[in-house]
Amino acid sequence: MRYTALTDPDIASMLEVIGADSIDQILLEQIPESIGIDREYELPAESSESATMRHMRDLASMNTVVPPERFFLGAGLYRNYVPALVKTVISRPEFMTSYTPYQPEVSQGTLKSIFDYQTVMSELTGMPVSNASMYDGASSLAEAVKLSIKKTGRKKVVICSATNPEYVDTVATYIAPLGGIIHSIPHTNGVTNPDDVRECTDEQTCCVVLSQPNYFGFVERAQEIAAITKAEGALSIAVVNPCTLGLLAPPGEWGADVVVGEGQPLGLPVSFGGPGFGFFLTMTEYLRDLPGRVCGMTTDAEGRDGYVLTLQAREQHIRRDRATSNICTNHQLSALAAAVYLMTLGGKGVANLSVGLFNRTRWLQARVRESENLALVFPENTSFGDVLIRGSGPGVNGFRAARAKMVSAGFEPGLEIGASFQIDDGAMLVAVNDQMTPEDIDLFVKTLDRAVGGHV
Amino acid sequence: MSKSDVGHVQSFGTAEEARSGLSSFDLRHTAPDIADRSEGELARYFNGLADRNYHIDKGIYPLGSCTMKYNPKVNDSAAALAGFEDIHPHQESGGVQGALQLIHTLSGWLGKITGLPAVSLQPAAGAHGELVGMLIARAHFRELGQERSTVLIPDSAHGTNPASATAAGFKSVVVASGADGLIDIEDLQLKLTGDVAAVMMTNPNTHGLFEAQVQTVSSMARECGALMYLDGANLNALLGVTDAAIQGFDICHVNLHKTFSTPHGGGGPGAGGLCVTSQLEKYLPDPLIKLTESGYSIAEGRDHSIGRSRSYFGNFANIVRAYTYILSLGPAGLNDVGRTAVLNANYLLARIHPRLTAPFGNRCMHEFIVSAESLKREQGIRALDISKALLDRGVHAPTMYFPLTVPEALLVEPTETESLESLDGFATLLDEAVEWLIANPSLADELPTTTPVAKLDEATAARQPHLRG
Repeated sequence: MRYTALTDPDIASMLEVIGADSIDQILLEQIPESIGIDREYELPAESSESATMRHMRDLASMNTVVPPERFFLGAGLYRNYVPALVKTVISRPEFMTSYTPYQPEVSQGTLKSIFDYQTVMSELTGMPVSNASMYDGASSLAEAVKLSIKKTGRKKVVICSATNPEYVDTVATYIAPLGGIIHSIPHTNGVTNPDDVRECTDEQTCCVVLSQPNYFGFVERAQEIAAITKAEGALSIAVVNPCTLGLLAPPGEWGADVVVGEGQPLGLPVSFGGPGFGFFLTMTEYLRDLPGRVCGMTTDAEGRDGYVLTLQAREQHIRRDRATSNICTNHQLSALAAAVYLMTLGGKGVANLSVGLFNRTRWLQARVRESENLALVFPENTSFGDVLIRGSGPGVNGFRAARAKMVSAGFEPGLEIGASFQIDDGAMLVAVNDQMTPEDIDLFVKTLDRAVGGHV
Repeated sequence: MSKSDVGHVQSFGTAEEARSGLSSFDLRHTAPDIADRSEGELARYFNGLADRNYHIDKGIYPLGSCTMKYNPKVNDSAAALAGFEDIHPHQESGGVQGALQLIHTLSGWLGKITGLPAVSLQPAAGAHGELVGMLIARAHFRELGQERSTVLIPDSAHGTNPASATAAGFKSVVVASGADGLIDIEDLQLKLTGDVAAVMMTNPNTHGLFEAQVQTVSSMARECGALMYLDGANLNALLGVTDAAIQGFDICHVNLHKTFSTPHGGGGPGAGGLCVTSQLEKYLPDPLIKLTESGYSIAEGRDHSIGRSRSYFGNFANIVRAYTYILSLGPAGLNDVGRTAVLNANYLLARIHPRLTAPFGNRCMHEFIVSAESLKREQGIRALDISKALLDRGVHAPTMYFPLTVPEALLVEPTETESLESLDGFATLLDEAVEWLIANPSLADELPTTTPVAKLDEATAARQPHLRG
């Protein structure tokens, strides 16, 4: 299958205009013989669209697809419902096949959608300034930490340990060249003890990273921790699950200086981990330190509203080696999906989304409490979205054996994380999504209870 | 009748129930102020926005170094298969063998295309690939116990190159181009000291020229112990022609959203691939996918790895698209891509250069530079005016004022998917635009006039930032 358009007579007439006998001649005039112009790749032969699609279907069918109502794995990426309008809008070639809006007069659609995205994300988080998007939650956090190193001139990066390990690893990669050192505050029974933050944070600390809710789904004492952070002149960086913010206090209200996270749950499929997008919001004070693109409103020569990429003096194409970040292409289409998603739900719908997720979380916890062989880990905490559970009582099977049974029963049961976080061996992180009914959750807990008890 | 409370998301319990489960300290007290609009209103709203965008399905998009080729629709159909869209990176590897095989296979294909066999598809974009590549250079010299702090970058390079070098802890030193638009070997010789970790080149460079002395540069760098990095943004020209290894490169990033046709989305998501020699494989980011006797497995926590550069395996949906593209084309189709891209660019250059100066002669690879310098001197017509006059004529403008080495530069890349009719149409419109500007010099500042908005006040936007509604 080819996508070129030239016919043989086209090629002949073009070569005549160019004044060359062949394309190879054009190449040979420029490329030395020692390099050559004939690479033959050992790749599968050209295939028709139909055969290509069949091959792709075969590959796709080798993956296990579990319907969302039986999918209890989350840990940062969630199988929430994607409204049909979101898919329709982001599939439009006007949005999908346009470039970065370098010529604003013919890119107002993209630019206005960025402005809308910045507006709704600002509303959701309570932060005044949003950029146009980053790659993902992990790289967005890494850029936030870099900003804090740059602003404070300090290199001690304090991270509350109940943070997505993918994110922490990414931060470590990004800050190594800057000499940044990560200090991890161990969780106490699943949450961060503000006294530990007070003890660890000092005049060398550039930032304290807190996840709210944290990686285990527990609600942290965010306001207290932010206050302790700021008392030491460090930046308070919040990693948030955006789907909780219709119910949980927005980080802009509890004192975060930078808010980052993964935008995938706002209208995007999981797609094996990408592309989602990273959101990055901050205070006006750090406006000129923002990484990446940002859209601003202005007027055109006739006084009409218009939109442009602005504050570009921060960026790599102007500032080159002194840019705030090296990011160029970001995740615009994914950010558009989130804008359409949040606008489709509206403020009330966003509140309803968070309420529904929280109530499902509580429903699942209640069923676990009632079960014979399962127990909540750290039941005294408040969970939101993700729930940490374990097998209870002596002699029950670990999750490893139960997992296989759950998979054959058509469930995706969750992620075993106990060992990596020094929690009881066999602890598993399970998550709800917004497509689950009470019956779905009942059936899951009942099946898992039996599997762990060795009854299935 | 009023609007129903039943919305797009399935409710579960009441707000009162939920609020009773949280301390008032943790609660949000006012809902986010996002207007409640019907789906029909929003469909029209976004349709209206779509109408105000230029895009590749509308017409030629000749942004130089951006490779705005047509994006085949079958790629999107493949990426939307439930077996790809609805799988989670934390599912057990036994349940995602198709996805792992796909990533592993595409890595192998890119290894063959670049000649650099060890590949990570984790980078999210080209610049992200550059950062990972530079971190690998850093890890390599640390292991050798060598303190090297400089990266040499030609003056025609993309801005991301120096920014990425800085992000990896290096300082960048600019190497000049000669009057022929190619790297100045004498200047390189002068700057190539024992402190140089890498020479970061783009080939073909952003003048649209093949760096004919690239092998000389590579052996000079090697003698000095430095690594050679290829910015693969312009790889489209080299498909079926040559590869990074033959030219002497050790590290190369590939933009799947340029060369391998995944859509740009108005500024991403893209996808990078980072290809390195087998000696440098150990430094590639975590995780890597390996083929073992029991199938594909995920290798993490590798001893020498630079670590994770982002979460999970990369922009998987775009990895699926690029795989689909290469599978469709096969080796002969890829060969056709590179050669047709070069033919289209040379043809357009021949059509345009009587009107605009071609500073580097009448041959190019997949893109070329023309300069409005003499038009500016004689008639006051700038590259900006020509660009805006093109927008007024319904086509997108080339990249303007880049690279920084040529005054009043227009960098034009038609790509292989443009037809002869489309190329002729663009050349004619460019001609008309220049004619019109010559006849109406006083009106140039008012362009464009037929676009959805007229000239925008960018200075005020930056001085008084208004970043949300």
